[in-house]
Amino acid sequence: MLRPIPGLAWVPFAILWFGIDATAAIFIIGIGVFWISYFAAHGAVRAVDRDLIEVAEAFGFRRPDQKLVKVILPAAAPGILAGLRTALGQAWMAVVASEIFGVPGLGQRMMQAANLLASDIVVIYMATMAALYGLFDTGFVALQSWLLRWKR
Amino acid sequence: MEAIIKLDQVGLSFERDGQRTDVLQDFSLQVPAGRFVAIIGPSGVGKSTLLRVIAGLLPPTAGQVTINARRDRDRLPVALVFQDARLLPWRKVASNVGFGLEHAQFKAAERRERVEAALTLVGLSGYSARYPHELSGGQRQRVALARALAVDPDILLMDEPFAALDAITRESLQGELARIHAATGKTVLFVTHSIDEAVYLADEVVAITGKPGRLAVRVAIAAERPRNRNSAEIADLAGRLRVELLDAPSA
Repeated sequence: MLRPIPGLAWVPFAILWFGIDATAAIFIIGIGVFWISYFAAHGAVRAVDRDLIEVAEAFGFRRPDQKLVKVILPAAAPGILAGLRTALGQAWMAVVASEIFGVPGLGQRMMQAANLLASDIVVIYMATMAALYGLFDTGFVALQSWLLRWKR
Repeated sequence: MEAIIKLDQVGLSFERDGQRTDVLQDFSLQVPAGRFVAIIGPSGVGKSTLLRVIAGLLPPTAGQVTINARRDRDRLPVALVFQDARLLPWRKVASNVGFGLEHAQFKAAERRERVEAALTLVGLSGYSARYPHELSGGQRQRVALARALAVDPDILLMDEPFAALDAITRESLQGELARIHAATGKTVLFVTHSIDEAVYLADEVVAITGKPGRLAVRVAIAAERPRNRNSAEIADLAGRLRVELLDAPSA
């Protein structure tokens, strides 16, 4: 029921409940990334090859927790990680957006510069945000390909 | 001697959308320990289902399955080899072979030892650190066989394990399996579509026909081992088996 609400639409409530500070930003990010990760993980787990689960059963791993650890999670890892990467991008957007709304941070300073018509400083903030996102994403991709090093 | 596998009027049916389908009916079979039994029959007569019932993956809906394998702590009574090797792609060869040994009773050192022994038995001792996608189809199937042998089962259930391989690889693996069977004395149930494969490998051929699947005929293959697949004796036995299978009821 809460799924169709865009993460950013929670900003007014976040400010109302948590005030203008980092907690509100974390709340917005949490909402933004939860559904993306949830549906990616859900789809990946559903798509796990039944035949591999049967292998677990054939070798005596018949409890649900054993099948989860031995087969389902590793088999679903590529899909789960792809979802998390999308969520990371979404989280970054949410951070900047909540800062524009007043949470202290880069976005807030950028808006202050914009109000002073200092467009050169605005551009520097934009470039900084892009560079930081690039850094996070590169780090995540490195982690992802290390975890999935078994893929051809 | 008591049979190691005893199927007594086993039936298996499932219901889907209120429609009942019988896969196996009144299926009785006794297999003495150490025997190599080939199960042959057309597609869809329940051969794979039969193996799953014996493996305990599917509970029969009628009759009784008795497995008299040893229930020691350091082995699993039954192990399966599937047609597609079904290795876990995120695990290296050694870890795939050790999969069935990841129960609490197997200590790490013992697991390593048994993995190494099983890999040596299938001729892949230098391949521990490869990933499945780095192997050929035949090598993957050897790893699957090693994974089954590592748990030291009394009964090896094989579901068309060589059907997807090219002819040369298939013959070489058949030879390996005959050698491993002779060396380990395990009871083998081997589903196949190939009469030649059945005659080369098995002590006895069991034909299943019909829907639901029933036991149609049992034929002993009394040739000496090791066998030569090019010998007149084997060719003659295969020819006679063909005739018997064609004459079998409702084949």
